[in-house]
Amino acid sequence: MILELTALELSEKIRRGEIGVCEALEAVFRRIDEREDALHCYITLNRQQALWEAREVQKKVSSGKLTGPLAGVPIAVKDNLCTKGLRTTCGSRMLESFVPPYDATAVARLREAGAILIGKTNMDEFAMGNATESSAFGCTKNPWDEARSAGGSSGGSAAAVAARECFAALGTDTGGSVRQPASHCGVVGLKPTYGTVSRHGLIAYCSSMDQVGPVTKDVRDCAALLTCIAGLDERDATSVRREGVDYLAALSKGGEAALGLRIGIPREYFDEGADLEVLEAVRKAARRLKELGAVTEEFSLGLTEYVVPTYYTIACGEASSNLERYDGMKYGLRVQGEGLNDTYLRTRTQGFGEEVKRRLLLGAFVLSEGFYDAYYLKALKVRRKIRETLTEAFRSYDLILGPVAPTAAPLLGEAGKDPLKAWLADVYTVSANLTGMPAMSLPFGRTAKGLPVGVQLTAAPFQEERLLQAGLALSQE
Amino acid sequence: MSAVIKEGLLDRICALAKLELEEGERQRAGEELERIIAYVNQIGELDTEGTEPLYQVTLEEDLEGNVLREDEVREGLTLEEALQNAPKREGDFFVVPKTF
Repeated sequence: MILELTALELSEKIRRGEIGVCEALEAVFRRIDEREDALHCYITLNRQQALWEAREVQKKVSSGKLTGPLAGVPIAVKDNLCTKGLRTTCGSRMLESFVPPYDATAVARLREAGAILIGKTNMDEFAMGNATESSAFGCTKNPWDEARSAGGSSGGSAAAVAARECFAALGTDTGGSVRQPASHCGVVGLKPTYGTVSRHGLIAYCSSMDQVGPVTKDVRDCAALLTCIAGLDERDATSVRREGVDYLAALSKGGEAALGLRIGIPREYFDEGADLEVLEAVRKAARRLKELGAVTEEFSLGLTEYVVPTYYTIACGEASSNLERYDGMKYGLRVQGEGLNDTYLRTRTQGFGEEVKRRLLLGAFVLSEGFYDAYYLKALKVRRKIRETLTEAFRSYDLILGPVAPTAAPLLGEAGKDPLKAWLADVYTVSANLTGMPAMSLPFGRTAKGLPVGVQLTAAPFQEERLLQAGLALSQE
Repeated sequence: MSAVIKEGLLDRICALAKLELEEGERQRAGEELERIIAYVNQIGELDTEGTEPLYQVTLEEDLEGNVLREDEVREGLTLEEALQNAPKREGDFFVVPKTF
């Protein structure tokens, strides 16, 4: 069954001539035809262009010009990454008919590697949300239980990988938006260290925290995708040069990689109201790592009660500044009013949805005269303190283990009931964004209801290899 | 009526964010914002005396610093590409409402 193969298994079979690129693509589109009406993973599909690209890639693979591990692999991309000639909506009415004139760097690198872009995945509007329910184009349903959320904001990417509507996907993670939907859908999701992947062509939400990350069936695919998209880009001054990193090669150690690793588990994570089944998954992962030769220990991390308010203060402040560009003048929606200011007001009031407006209002507040010091600036100071606690922890531990989200996938509609309560569910994921550190969500068991539960591993900056090694060890039975 | 509405704060923030709230939304938005502000207020409890703000997380040594390149012409967006998403255009220009 083609669709059950991982991205790496597929590309190997394509290289050997056992499976054709078009054959793999057609299998994916058949699955999309079967499942998409129920799940709604995609906002826009790239059918015609993808078929044409598949034929081109097949020629290059057959003639030996393309030999990489992603050549011919059908891949989905979150709809906040610009794709040349293919509509990019960011889940918003504001960009409903926006067609980018260029590719995001991460997308361009996938194309160069011969991956076939099959469509743009659904997401919370402007990546603001954790249930893919704030999308202007309707919610994405969880493939394991269609009454439940796929998580968010990269819910379309995670659900598409889980439902085999693609072989792998790109998501983006500003506060957990790759990791949490990966956990809810039972797939692997990685947020790289800030600066690892170029943000050029990623529609900005919170520029100091946004990162592009892979959503995949397993850890090896995750490493392959990361190797492809990572690296210095002159179009993003925050991207970082790292010479000769091959994340896939780092996995050659296999299960032995866990031997001797020091793993810290923050004690606070057990007191923050997470479901018992989620905490049991963390304990089980700790026991497994111990069996593999790691040293595990509970410790007090500190400041965990401050991470969510700090995150929302900074993220909303940056968002209110970043989203000022949606003024209806050069691209995107314009709702004509009486004069300039009225046009701004009508365009933004009609173009943005409820959750975006909520965050823009908070953002305008924390940046406004009289409140800037007490909120935005204060949050930036707390951010430094939060980084100090994590840096201190990484003096004693190689990795931090914890939950991804307090529960398995919630029922659809829960997130909209109480917006502040929905924000609190980000407590385990936002630290990695505030501090720039890499973190990975790994499927680890099921609840009694059969829903997937993930565990999270966090590492010090640029320790992705270690993260992937431990993840691989943990995912091998 | 929530304090953020009474004190005119909600109107001020809406004007800054260039958003309008309908009369029916104002009450709910005001209460919600007040609740959210009360929640984020807790960061005020933490002593940050002597702590510098952390605007961006990348360490100095990992950044490229000032990278200079030769001042040569490179391909960029064509005029047509730059204008292709314009809500309203006339020839090679964006058309915008009167600004003064």
